[in-house]
Amino acid sequence: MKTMNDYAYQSAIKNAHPTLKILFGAIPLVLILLLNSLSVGVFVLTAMGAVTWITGRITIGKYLKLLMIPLTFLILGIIPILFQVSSSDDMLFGIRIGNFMLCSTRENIKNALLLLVKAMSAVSCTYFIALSTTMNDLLYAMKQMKVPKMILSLMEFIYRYIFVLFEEYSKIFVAQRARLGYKNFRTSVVSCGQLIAALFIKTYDKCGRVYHALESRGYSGEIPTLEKDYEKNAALQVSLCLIPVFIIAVYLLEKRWAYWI
Amino acid sequence: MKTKKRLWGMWLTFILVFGINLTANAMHIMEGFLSPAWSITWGVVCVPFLIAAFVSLKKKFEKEPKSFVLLALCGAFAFVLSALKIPSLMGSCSHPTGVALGAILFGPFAMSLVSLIVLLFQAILLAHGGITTLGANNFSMGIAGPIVSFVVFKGLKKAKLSTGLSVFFAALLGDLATYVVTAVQLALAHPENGNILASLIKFLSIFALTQIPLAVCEGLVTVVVFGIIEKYGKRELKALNIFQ
Amino acid sequence: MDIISTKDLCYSYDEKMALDHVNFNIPQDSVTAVLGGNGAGKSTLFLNLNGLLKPDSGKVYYNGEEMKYTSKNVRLLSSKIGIVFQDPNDQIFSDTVRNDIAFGAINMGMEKAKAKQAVDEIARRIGICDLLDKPVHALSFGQKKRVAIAGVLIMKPDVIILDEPTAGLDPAGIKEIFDLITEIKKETHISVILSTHEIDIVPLFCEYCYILDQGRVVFRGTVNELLKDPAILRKSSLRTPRVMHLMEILKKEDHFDVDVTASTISKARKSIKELLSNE
Repeated sequence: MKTMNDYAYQSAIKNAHPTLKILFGAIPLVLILLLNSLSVGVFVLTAMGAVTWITGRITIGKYLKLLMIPLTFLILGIIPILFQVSSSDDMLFGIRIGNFMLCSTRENIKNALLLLVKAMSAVSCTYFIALSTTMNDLLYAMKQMKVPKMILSLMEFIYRYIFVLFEEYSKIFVAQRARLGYKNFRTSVVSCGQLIAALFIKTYDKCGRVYHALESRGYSGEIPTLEKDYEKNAALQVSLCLIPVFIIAVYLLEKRWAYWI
Repeated sequence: MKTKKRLWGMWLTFILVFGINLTANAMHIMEGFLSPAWSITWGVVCVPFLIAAFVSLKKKFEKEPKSFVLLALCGAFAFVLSALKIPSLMGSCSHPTGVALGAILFGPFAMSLVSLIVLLFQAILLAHGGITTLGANNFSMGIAGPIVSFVVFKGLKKAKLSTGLSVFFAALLGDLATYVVTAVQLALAHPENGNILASLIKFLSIFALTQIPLAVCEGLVTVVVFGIIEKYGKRELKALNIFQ
Repeated sequence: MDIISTKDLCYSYDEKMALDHVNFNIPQDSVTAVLGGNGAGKSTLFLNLNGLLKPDSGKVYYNGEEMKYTSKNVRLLSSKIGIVFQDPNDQIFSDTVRNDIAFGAINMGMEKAKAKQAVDEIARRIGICDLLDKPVHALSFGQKKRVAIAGVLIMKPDVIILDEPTAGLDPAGIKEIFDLITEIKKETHISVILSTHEIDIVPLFCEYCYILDQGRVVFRGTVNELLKDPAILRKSSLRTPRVMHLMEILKKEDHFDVDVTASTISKARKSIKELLSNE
């Protein structure tokens, strides 16, 4: 299975300290939501996009494609904000459906645009983390944040077996397709159900063997982890301090000069 | 009559445009969509459920270390389920299938914690949902949906309905509950000129387009899954009872 | 002296008898093959040997001492008798190679800093240094197999059990794994137990051999003894090595006076050369 996180292994900053990278993504993320400003959104989206593109060794086309992933939700989520049900005097345009009137005002469009920009720039922040920090490093950072050990062990395990089970899933899926398991809606429902059930029974079977394998290496209910040595990254540290300053500056500029937004 | 026709036309175009290409994230509130206040509120709402799950699971793991491996593998299973494509009338589309199945198999308690982990992985690995919306998504998909599924399943079983129908309605209603809760969350965060109800109607109707057909499909698939597991997986079902 | 032996070992799953009065012994510093068709009880035997499964009746001895099933003792034994499971995906639970290899060592009480060194050392020996910082899901099957072996060897066991080490590997991968085992054996004098369906490999690598059939030992002895009586192999859903089969046909159908117990290419070559030079 190809996941977004796989790009983290090719990132130029994959060995930088994970907490640093998380903060680098999280601080702008929080600021976007708090400041609620269009220009901050545009600024963060561009800045994060650029940083991810430069450090991530990922093509622009691929990055844009990744940005399109939440598109369905975005469209479904924006439409209700773009239109209002009750008619208004300052409406720009409207559609009459039966007894209902859907109309859009300047205010609606402004809100929708703001939400769109905010959401996309927030996504770019999360992507920065996902595309630069490997799962193992994220778990390490979570350990520093005092997330309970049990949850971390559970996560380490789940993460590993996602790939194992997905492989099993793909094998069954191909085998079903090879015998026309998905030729129409009815066979698709049955095949899909069978696939999930088979996967479940396989999962359970695996459980016994995995447990034996753990036990034979002295498992006693705890999963120890080795810490990696992380590289110091001065450029990242400096930008981490500068980015909030820039964001606030952009925000103040907007309030001062472009208050009409 | 004419407006009715036009309405159907709009429906159809809409489904054709988005239905084919629907991805699992249609039901995950995306990153940045909620204000900080709502992000935190929904996170806090999840906390009691998570603590209860954490405490009870921890005890279970100490008593029976093997149950840890079982839950971990089930978590991975839940993730794969949420990422795979289920058939719909418009071809196949991916959709979080795990809600009802997880609730019936592992019980709603274990689900609340497992789904939190699964949602976090979805956000980072697949860009479905987001980190700031983790609380809201976990409440709709890991707590409200599973509880409804679980209660419906147990209730209908008690009312002597066949397992097939009980599973179907558990999956259908669990899915719909998830969808209603998500719409409520969005309406609360984005009221129309301060009017939450108007906003709710809008969100409910737009998500109804995609979620109702999908919920039916998921119901059918879950019935098939459960039929097979009940027939061949007695031992597995018994082992999973420990989480309930 | 025998490092492991069992006496009348019986084990059953629910009703089904998986091991039926098995008497088994492994001399120190030896390589023993356990053969048998699918479901013959090989994997169950292995889990009984290192204490993970407790026999219904019968006894297991390690270094001449009877095995006790206290959890502390079982943990000690499982570090002395390591198992490499058939599917490395069952064994490798962590997503980083480094963490997974260190798991057993830390469980044995090794300090983390020491474990780190031990991981580097074992990785160098097995030739997987370049894999240490890769995610497990990016490794090939053969690479995962090596990681699984490293995860067991780091505990410095006296005995290593390899359950179907050749399953799922390509010919080059099989050769690599056996070269690795031979090399490790030379260095550490570890005793090796392995199960396999690759019968051609048995005469090359193994000294002793057991055949299990439906939970019973139907043959025990040296590999040379086994090859003198090929009928027993066929009776247990197995076959003779290809080379040996060829020699048999040469003798039976073509009436060449070759050595029918020649089971490896080098032995067959020698026998045929002798035959030719005699003529």
